[in-house]
Amino acid sequence: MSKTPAAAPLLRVRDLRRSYGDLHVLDGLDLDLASGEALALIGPNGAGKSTALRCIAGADEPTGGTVELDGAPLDERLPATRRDLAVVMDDLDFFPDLSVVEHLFLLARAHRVDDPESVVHAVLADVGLTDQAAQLPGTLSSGQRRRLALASAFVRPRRLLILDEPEQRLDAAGLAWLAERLNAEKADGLGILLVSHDAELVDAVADWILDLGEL
Amino acid sequence: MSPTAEVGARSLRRQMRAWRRDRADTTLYEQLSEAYIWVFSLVLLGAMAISAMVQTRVSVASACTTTTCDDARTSLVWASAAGMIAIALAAAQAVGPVMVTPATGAWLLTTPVDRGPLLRSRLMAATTAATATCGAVVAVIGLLAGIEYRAIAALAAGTALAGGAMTALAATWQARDGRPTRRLATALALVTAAWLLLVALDVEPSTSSGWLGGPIGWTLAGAAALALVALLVRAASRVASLLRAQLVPGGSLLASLSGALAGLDLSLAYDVLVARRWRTAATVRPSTGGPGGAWALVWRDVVRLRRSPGALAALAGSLLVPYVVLRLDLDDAIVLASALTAFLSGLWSFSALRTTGRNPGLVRCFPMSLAAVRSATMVVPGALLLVWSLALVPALSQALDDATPADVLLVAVATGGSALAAIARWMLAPPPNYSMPLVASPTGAIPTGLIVSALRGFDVLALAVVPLLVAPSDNGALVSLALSGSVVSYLVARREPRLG
Repeated sequence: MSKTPAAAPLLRVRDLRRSYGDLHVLDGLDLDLASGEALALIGPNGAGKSTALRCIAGADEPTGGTVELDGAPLDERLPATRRDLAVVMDDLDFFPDLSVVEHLFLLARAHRVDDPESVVHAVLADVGLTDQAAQLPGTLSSGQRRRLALASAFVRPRRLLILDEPEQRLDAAGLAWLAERLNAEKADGLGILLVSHDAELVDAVADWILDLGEL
Repeated sequence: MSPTAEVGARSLRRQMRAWRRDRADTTLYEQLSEAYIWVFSLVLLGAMAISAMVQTRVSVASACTTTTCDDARTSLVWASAAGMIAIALAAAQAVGPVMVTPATGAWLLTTPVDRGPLLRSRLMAATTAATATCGAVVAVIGLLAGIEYRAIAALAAGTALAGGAMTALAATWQARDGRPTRRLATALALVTAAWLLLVALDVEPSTSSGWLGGPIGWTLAGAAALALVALLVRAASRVASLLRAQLVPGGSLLASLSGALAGLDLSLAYDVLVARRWRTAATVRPSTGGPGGAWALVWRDVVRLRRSPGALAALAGSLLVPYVVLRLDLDDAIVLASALTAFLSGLWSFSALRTTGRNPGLVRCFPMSLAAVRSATMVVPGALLLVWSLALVPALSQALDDATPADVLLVAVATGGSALAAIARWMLAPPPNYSMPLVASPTGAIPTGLIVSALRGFDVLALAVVPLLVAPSDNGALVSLALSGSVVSYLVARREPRLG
């Protein structure tokens, strides 16, 4: 798929390829994403959705192709890129000895967020972890850990959100909240690139849908 | 369907044994025949170890030419006995001591089987392991310390039986979440540390070991044996009432640790222990203040220090080691012993470096380079090591002949630097890569980096300490510091391709 938004794209991907030996998981993916828009990658298991996300976010090295953020090659090792890019994928783990609220304060302060107190407590309430604020990550349920991972993206400045199956392990109320939150993020001018198997979430959030199973 | 009658654990074990034997395709004799290389190696290595210990005993005795040194050696044996019992208690508290594997917990403990016989065999195994370990370690220390062989036998037997008795006692306390066990272990550890302090200060009460080989020593060992039997009987009568939730965590911990150790991955074993420690704590009193930017990570390490005073005390207590080495007239070994002690006792404080080192997703959340993140997580623990090194100066000034104060200061800092570099290597080295070509061995195919992974940290420690051993002066210290600095700089700045 290739689409061309009116404004200059926040994220531009061209001819992205990823192979494992003779297995071509991604073969020439093109996409553009503008600020204030959401693009959902969908498709069956093995279609290469998460691989695409990992290559775009810099967690995996593509075999070929280019990924640009604001017109410059995206190198997630650069501090400037890390400031703009908020990524929630399965490889996010936590400090075993820091509580839920301490993780959020650590990230907010590391990003020098103005008034971290109000931001952290608002996000904490938003993701429904206020009662677990003092808990250590090892004692959280899988759903609560997912919420904490999402909170870590919302507690810091960001221009592009990359989310790999954010609906995972969330209950119905959590899914409704997530859709509302992502739409609010779009309204604030953020670009959102997500992989999802939840049709309702995709319908509620995505401006563009790319089915990798049909490529 | 009517409820079944209670099944005996013995009949279940017999059934499982029958299944296993049915699947066996070689006899024990065939196995031993194939394993002759291992048996031969074990015998050879055992003989070498005993020979080395006896040689060390002789050289330690010849190096020990003063009365104060003799007193220190004897006192150390007593401290080691108390220390080993403390370790046995701590290990018992960590694993249970009565525990079952998660599989046993899920498949056997959920059946209407009488748990008593099953758990009593676990109790016996734990007690036997504690008894053997305590006895062996104290025997080796007694041997190295140069006390009489009869005294070694009595002390090792007494400590072994006391260690077993304490493990049985811990089993009776298991139903109370092991809190009394933890308190007793802490008390014994404090006694050991206090004893070592007295030794280091050369003010320990007069001790001798000669009487240990006589009737009094063997009477005490007999009393320990009686205590062991009594506590074992008491514990055995109670184990059946233990809850599954009190039995399985210890088995899970051991399974995780054995998995890590099977890959010779000590860092992974460290992760398992750290995760277990904080999962047990469950909650903390949140600390939300602090500076911004990379200093936020530094501040978190300050909070960690406040949160783990026991570990900080252990680091401070480890400072006794070089001073005790000094009392043993082992001046030549003080740098090596200090660097090794600083390395081992400093590991705990680098947990943030470890977490960020193995977790690219977490590092990606911070708006700074990987090197900046790693450096920030090393500031506070590095400062602790520096303070530790400075506290080493008085010991080094006594041990190093003809050294100027500047030399001593540099050697002390270089010793701490060696430990820092070794810890960075230990924490940041990648695990063995199982996707690379494997090497054939008598035990099967192994990854090329497997053996090296067990030596991680120790290799860099040896590299950085050698210049200090060859030239314990400003020149040796500067070379050592250059080596340590190079290693730390490389490890901190190293970028994994497209990771972190």
